[in-house]
Amino acid sequence: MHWKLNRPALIAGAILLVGFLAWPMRGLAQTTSASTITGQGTAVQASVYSILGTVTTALADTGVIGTTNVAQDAGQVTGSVASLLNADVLSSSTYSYADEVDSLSSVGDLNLIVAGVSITANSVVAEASQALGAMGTGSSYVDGLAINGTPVALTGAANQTIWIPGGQIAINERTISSTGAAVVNALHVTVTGVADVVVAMAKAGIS
Amino acid sequence: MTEQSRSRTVARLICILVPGGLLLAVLMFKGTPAVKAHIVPSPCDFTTGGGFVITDNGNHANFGLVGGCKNGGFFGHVNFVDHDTTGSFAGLHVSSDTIDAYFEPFAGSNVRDICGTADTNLFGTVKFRARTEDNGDPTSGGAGVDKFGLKITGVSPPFTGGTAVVVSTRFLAGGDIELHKPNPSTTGPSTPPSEFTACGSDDSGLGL
Repeated sequence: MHWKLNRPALIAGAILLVGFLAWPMRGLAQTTSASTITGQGTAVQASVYSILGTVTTALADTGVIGTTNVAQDAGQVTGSVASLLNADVLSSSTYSYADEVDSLSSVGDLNLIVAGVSITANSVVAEASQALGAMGTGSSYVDGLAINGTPVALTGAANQTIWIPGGQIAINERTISSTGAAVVNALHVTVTGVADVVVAMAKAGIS
Repeated sequence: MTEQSRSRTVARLICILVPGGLLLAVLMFKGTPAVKAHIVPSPCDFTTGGGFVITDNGNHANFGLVGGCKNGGFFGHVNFVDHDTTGSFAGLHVSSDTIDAYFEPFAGSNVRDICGTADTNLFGTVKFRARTEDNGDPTSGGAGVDKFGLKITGVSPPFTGGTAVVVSTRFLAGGDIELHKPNPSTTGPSTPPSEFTACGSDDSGLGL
């Protein structure tokens, strides 16, 4: 059999091939860059209300990052808020890439008493992440949670709520903003007029 | 011996020695998960985590950590509390002062060693090696997926030079460990640190 070259077809094929090879480069060149970045990890943030005003205490707090390719961390072997909370191995970190922000916070041996309600846990961990162009995600791991010594059955679902006298405990509290930034509070205890306590908070946003 | 028979003998020897050598090599390394390297990962990355393990005495030992490379050096922290009430490590607190190395002990693995200097409440200042292994995200609670272990070496009298595995590497009973991908800032030092200088001792007894 004798093959004969078809010149117009050859040229058309070459154009198609060049276009195909150039496709990924055009795609990369069109990738948007991040303009807004936020990341933070805080092991404990406790606001205590009194007639003298509100006193807010943060433990193992990374502070807020706002640029790409940075990392901040904070840790302490023990931590406490007077008359409210004791905990061990408090740890937080937040870090940004050119196209992603990830944050983590963890607390061990939590012993919290709010308005006479005892809340304890072996381990409390929160993680949050957002990749550029995608919605943020988050998760939390709470182990051995007990209220007044009674173990709490965790559903694993986001925003599980348990009512306590004068307030509530939100477990695995997750918030996604309109830009997709994720905030995860592994435990969030609120008692009206007494205190607002977040244990293991992770925040990550990039857009 | 003729030239032809000499060639035949050499060929026979090669046929026997090469497969034999391969078999020996297989037997020698059988059961070894990977070749030990103790190198700084390249490209370097970092690890975060928090949670607890169950000690040999059945009590909780909690930890919180961050470790890795950053801008040509190492960064992070390691904190550890042992809730044993008896034994050598009962009530031990370990709180890192500096992170002196970040190693990938088994090439190509998801195991990382964070080494540095720490204060303790029982043994003065120590060198430590915290071993982590990220095996994915736990479904709930955090038990049974990732691993953690800790070894310390005394540098303060009367504990100078003494080494101890506080907890051999084991599954978490709760929590999570995350091995993160590299980014442009996660570069390690141009000259890798000595394992013994950074960690105080080798990883014997720490397990995997």
